[in-house]
Amino acid sequence: MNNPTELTNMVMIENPATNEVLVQHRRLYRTGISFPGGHVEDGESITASAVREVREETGLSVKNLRLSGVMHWFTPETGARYLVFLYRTTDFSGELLSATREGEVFWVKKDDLPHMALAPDFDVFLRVFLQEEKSEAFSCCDPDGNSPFLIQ
Amino acid sequence: MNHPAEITNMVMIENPKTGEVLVQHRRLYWTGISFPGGHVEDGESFVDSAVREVQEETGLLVKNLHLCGVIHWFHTEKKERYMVLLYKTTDFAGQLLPGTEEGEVFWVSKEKLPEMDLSPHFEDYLKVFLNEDKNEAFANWNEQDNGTLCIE
Repeated sequence: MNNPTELTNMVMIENPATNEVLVQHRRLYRTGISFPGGHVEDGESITASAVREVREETGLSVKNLRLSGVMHWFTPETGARYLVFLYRTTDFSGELLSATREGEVFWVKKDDLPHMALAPDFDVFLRVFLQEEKSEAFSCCDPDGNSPFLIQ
Repeated sequence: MNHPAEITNMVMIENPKTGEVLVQHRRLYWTGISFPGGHVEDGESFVDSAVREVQEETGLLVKNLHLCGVIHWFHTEKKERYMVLLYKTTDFAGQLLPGTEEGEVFWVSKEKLPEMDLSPHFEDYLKVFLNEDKNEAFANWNEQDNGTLCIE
């Protein structure tokens, strides 16, 4: 019942005036276009960790985060879980950093996103982010080693 | 980083016509008024686990679950997490069971809830359920300090 669980966050920051979202072009593992985010540290809430990661990776301060969904991977052999809590906000301020070690951050039109070189599985993340009625994408390896996503 | 996490769910089922919600008067482990829910089993999605628990405890079949928040407890010494994923829905069907070994289930008006004999911490859980802009109730705790849930 007490499964080892890696807990992370990801934040979609939208500028409603321009219909743009803030993306990160990841350079370390899982390269490609994604949103900012990272791990939840000991003793911090998931919400606080999301605010912290955004500030570290983009320079922006965000508020009024809304929980949009969760990405959920389960490995049957070890019972380990990997979770990404997905947040959206339109409430941001501050000076955008040009880049950090994680990669460059920049604004793109929301409609252009699907055509970009997305990080692995990021197309699935987007479906949960953008569809209000979807709250989860779940992946669990089947006996053949395939792990399709169940989006609900 | 990969701390053990016990993940559970809880579902607020609302009848929009009557303004009533389905409660469970719990008799096992911890007693008092709560919403139906239970543990996520290995290999099932969070949404499926919530649907299953509701069916087992109430007889009702729910659909269109909306993830509205998370309760998140972190034990600072054992480095273990206890999480409750909170779902809401107005889409239910079937015949209500009078109760199970977990306790009786019945409808109450939303306004009456705060006056009832609520289970431990349920008053704080309600704040996350009922406030669209609250996503999380978080507490650090250990054997010396019961912790106080911080709602954000």
